[in-house]
Amino acid sequence: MREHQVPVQLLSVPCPEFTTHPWQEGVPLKQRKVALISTAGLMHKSDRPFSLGHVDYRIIDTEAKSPLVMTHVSTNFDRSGFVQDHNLVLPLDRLNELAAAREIGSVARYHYSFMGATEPEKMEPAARLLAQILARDEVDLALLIPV
Amino acid sequence: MCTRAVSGLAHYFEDQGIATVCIALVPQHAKQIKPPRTLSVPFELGRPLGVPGDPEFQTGVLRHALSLIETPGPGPVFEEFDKDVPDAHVPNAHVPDMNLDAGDGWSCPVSFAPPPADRLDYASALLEEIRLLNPWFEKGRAARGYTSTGTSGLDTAAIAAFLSSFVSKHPPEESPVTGQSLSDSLKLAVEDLKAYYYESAAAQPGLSTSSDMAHWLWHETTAGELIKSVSQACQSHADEMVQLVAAFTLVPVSEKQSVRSD
Repeated sequence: MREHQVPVQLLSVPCPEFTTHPWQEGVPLKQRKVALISTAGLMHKSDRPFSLGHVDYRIIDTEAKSPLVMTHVSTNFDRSGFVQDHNLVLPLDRLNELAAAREIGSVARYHYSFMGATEPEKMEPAARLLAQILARDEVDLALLIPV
Repeated sequence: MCTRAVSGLAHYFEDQGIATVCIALVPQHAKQIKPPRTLSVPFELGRPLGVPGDPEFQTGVLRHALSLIETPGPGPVFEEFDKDVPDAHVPNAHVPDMNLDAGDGWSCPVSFAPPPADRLDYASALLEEIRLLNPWFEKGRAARGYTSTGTSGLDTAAIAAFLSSFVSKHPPEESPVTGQSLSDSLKLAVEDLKAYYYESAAAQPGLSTSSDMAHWLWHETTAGELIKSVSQACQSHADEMVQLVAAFTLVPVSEKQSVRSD
């Protein structure tokens, strides 16, 4: 959204302050393995739905047969776009196209979704563990996408 | 609040050695939290890549976001995506004379009966509405190859009966799904119902924006009327989690003032 379009109730939401500003360098984009991290409350239909207060994540396996669904607890955003085209929220097809065009190195098999209606501080333990898993999977770029 | 979440998560990932790029839908949150690299996009909440079914537009957003990884540090890096969605996807932009207050707006080709006057009729009225929409729902599912419905574990008849029971004299005290809480079942049944309607609407001819479809759902369908009534009825439910879910997660803030007062 543009700044003047943001609902006033969102502006009063408390945001965490970070005293450090970590910055990772690395190889060029066309050599990087990319994973998507959504906060849209996405999951495979066979997985456990998100609920109020959930601070963990769901695994999105690109080789899974179970369809992708959204169980974010908030109802104050558009969902009609997602039901038409999952790439609007989780652009896996677009990412694969960029990999085929060699604009990025590769696409991870596993991607992940949190449910963003909670304080980021409460997601920190799960996020730090997930970062270790991403590193073992040789992911060197995480694209974080809100909803 | 998702921009707040991705911005915070980016700090943790980067601190653990994983390079990140964030897309932001609420620029103020990104500017306050200062994740390492941010592309702020001007799109409505729920549409971070801009336009459904438009690979070229989506790729433009994605390509810009990913390019930030090659911006020299130190951060934070904050850039704005300067291209708006086409007019046809701007809420209401393609219907210049539409008067939402007068009940105009995007119209579903399927004609529905008015919502039932008696709340006890909700289940049958909802099932009839679902039956009328079913050809479009199936058309959409066939075209996409998937459906986003089905998370509740209930079929449409069970959803109609379950949701209607919340506005009856004897609201349910237990979930109809083994192992699921009543509040989770309520939320998931409502989301299944919304997904069914949105998928059906999206399959019909003509462009429709997010606000057109939302207006249709909340003001022209029995489903929307029922969900709003359930939200209101649950404020006095014995289960506090049901009260909480009903108060905050079923009906958008923008629609809560339009609940029928009977």
